[in-house]
Amino acid sequence: MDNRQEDFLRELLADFKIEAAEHHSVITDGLLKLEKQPPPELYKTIIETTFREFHSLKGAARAVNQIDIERICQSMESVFQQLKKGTFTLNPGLFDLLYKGLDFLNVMLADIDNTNKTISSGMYLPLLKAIENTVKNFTNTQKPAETTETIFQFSKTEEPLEQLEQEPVLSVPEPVLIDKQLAKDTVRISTRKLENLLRQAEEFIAVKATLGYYIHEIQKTNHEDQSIIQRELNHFHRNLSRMVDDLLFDIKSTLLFPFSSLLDIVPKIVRDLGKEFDKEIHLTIHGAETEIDRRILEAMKDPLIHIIRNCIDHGLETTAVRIKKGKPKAGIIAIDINQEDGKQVILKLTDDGAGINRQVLTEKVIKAGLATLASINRMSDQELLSFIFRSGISTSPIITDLSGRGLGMAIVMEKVTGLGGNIIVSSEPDKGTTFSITLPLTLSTFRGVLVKVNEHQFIIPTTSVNRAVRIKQNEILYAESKPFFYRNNESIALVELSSVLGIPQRKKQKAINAYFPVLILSSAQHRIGFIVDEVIGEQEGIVKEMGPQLIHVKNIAGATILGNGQVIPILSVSELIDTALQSSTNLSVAKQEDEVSAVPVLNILVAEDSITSRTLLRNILESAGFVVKTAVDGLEAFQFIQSERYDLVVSDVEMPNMNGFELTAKIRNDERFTNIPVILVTALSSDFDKQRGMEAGANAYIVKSNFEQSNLVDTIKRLI
Amino acid sequence: MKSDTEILKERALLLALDTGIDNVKEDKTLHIVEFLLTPESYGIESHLISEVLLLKGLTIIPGTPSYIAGVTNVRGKIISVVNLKTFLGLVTKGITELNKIIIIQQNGMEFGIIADAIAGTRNIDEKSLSAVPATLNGKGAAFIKGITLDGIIILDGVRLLSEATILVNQK
Repeated sequence: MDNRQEDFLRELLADFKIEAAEHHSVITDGLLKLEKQPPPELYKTIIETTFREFHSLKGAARAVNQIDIERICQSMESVFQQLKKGTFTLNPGLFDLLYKGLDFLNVMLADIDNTNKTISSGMYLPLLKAIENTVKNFTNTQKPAETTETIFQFSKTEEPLEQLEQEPVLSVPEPVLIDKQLAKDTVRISTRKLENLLRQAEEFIAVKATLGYYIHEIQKTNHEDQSIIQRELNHFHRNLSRMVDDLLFDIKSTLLFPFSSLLDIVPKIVRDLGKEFDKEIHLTIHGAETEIDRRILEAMKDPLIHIIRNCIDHGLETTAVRIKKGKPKAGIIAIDINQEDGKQVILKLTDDGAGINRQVLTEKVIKAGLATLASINRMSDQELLSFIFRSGISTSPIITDLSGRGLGMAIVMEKVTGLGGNIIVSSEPDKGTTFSITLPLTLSTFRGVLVKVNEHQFIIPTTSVNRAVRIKQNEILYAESKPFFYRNNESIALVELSSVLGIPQRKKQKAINAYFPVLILSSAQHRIGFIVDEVIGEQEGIVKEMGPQLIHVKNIAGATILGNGQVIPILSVSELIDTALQSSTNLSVAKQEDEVSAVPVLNILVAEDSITSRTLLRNILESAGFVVKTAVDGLEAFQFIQSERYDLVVSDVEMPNMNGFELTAKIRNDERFTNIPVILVTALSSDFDKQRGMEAGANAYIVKSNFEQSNLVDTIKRLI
Repeated sequence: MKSDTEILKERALLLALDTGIDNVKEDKTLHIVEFLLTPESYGIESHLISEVLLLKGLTIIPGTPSYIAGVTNVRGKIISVVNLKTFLGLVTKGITELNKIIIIQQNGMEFGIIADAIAGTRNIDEKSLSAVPATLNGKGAAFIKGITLDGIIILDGVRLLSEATILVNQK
């Protein structure tokens, strides 16, 4: 046996120990309840549960070659089988025997790693005998008590029968010691507790980010001691970052499970399905020891089974067809798991079957109205194949109860992308099909690209960002009035992120030579370029839900919190691409040349300290066609006025640092700005305040409580 | 056709039920937190309120219905914020400060209500509430318990928190 295999066996035994301990505790619990004589309904359930627990424990013991444990379970299981059938009812004497059996099991479980076993078969066989006799005597079967062999195969052992009958009273060696031994290697902690711990550890990412933010901020200030503080902070930041990363890594590793815990079920499924479809199948699994977040494993169970069923049902040919094609009789299904650069896991599932029939697929796609023949002809093979993930498309000509209804692969796709993964299919006629599933190693922490669109910020998961490029206005081409551009000889459709998300368009003043930042995003086989205003950079974050009220918002996968506490929505790339494919793709940036010359752009500065009012004002003014810049108080507003040209200022009165009256006076007193109209929008409605506003030099004074949208826009239009 | 006895029995039952409700009502004092949502004053039962905060940042989520003002960060937890006026279909008039949020929760549902100012707490006898005026028709009326003599609109917070149409599920 090589080392690897030994390691694997040791790991298996460790797993068995934990599993067995769980079964053991459920059984003990069941026995305790049964002893209290529960009502018939409950009695039945407990008998059933206990029977199943014994059965599972027996199976598990057999799998790891623990024959002694298997034997004891077998004996006790058969008692419960009788109880289930009702041919026998529980009596008090039996409880003692069953508890003793459990004690034996306990010792044996603790002993698993030891070469010297405390318990030999001679020690527990009398117990089994006694259990059997009790059942026999009670049920009064005609069979003599001696014929134990028929039920208990293992009593055909070398132990003399006399010895068995001599020692009906049993002692279990040192049961106290056992719990200690069990506790030595593992501690059972509920996954919920671990997940809570992980969540708390993840919060430290925000601490890390906050510190980074402050360092960034302090760089902007001018202070004599700045360099010292900054050096200290940088040092602290580095140390903290390492601590946080180590802590997270270790906590996450407690939640990692080997793929084998998911793949254990696969051989049986393949065998059963092979039988059902009369196909001979050779299954190989590589890399089952690769570890991944158990939540991902749980979520991947159904998708994996679905793909396997697909492969067997209509991937692999029947034996007769295979022989005719000159292929080996047995079809091959290969599962290959690999970890890539410590961040993601790639699961490849390959069959050597007939492959996906392009012609059948094309027909289905057209029939389902998802594309026209002309557009399919223009598609790459990858794009065409990706249709198998759309609902309503199945390449199986016969609808079987397993697959063929065309829903399954759409669900697989949804599950995988929901986990932050990706799935790609490739297929060669008569050679086979490969599904390549990329999964993140753990859930929740992710890296994303922070972008800005119209003053809104969004994060796009890095795994879905193919590339960030900059394109010029004159690089935008049109096919059937749909914009696209070329990158590395590949044509990529172009859309504006703002229009896909339905954010109001803002007119931009841009020269024709200006570059547009474009993020090329990919899901399945679609690649689309999304124009944004600015790519700010890459961010690490935690995926958070947006509260119980927002169950699912289209195009949005969740949100994350930046170092400065700001909440940023995380975009769901697969949904975004779907939305982009469905929506009309008119680019405002492309049409801009005409508009810029036709309509003069009016810049308005809004000074308002309330976030909501600020946003509200911005929305009103932007939808009226103005370009809006916002400032949080009078001081900031005045700084903006000095650096950029504005056609009009809308200001709140009550603001920190510099209020609206002061701002107005400052604008009026500076000859460069004295002609800029100022509108005060305020909650102060007294004539005195109004008077003060006019004295400061405001052109209009709108009281908030009788404010109406058109009122403000009309006033602005009158003033400029 | 009902027999006389049957009818009498029914009446007796109804009478018995009525007194029952009256008794409950007499005892029902509502502890409310009063808040301003310009120009109206509203009240919501305090036992539904988990906290009241100064709104520090609001992120607009594109694609959500207009009554979702956005989401905000409450000590690392993200909470959606509702503009009640829009949800209830009340006329929006005036720019308001909207810089407070009242977080309400029950049975796992939780969201913030945006408000201009918190006026304080008070006890109100539910019996003293007058019915929702006819001007408040349509959607809004269903979420209002009644109006106090001094014009505070008392919201039915439990109803708001269990209302299906306030959820956003665009799947």
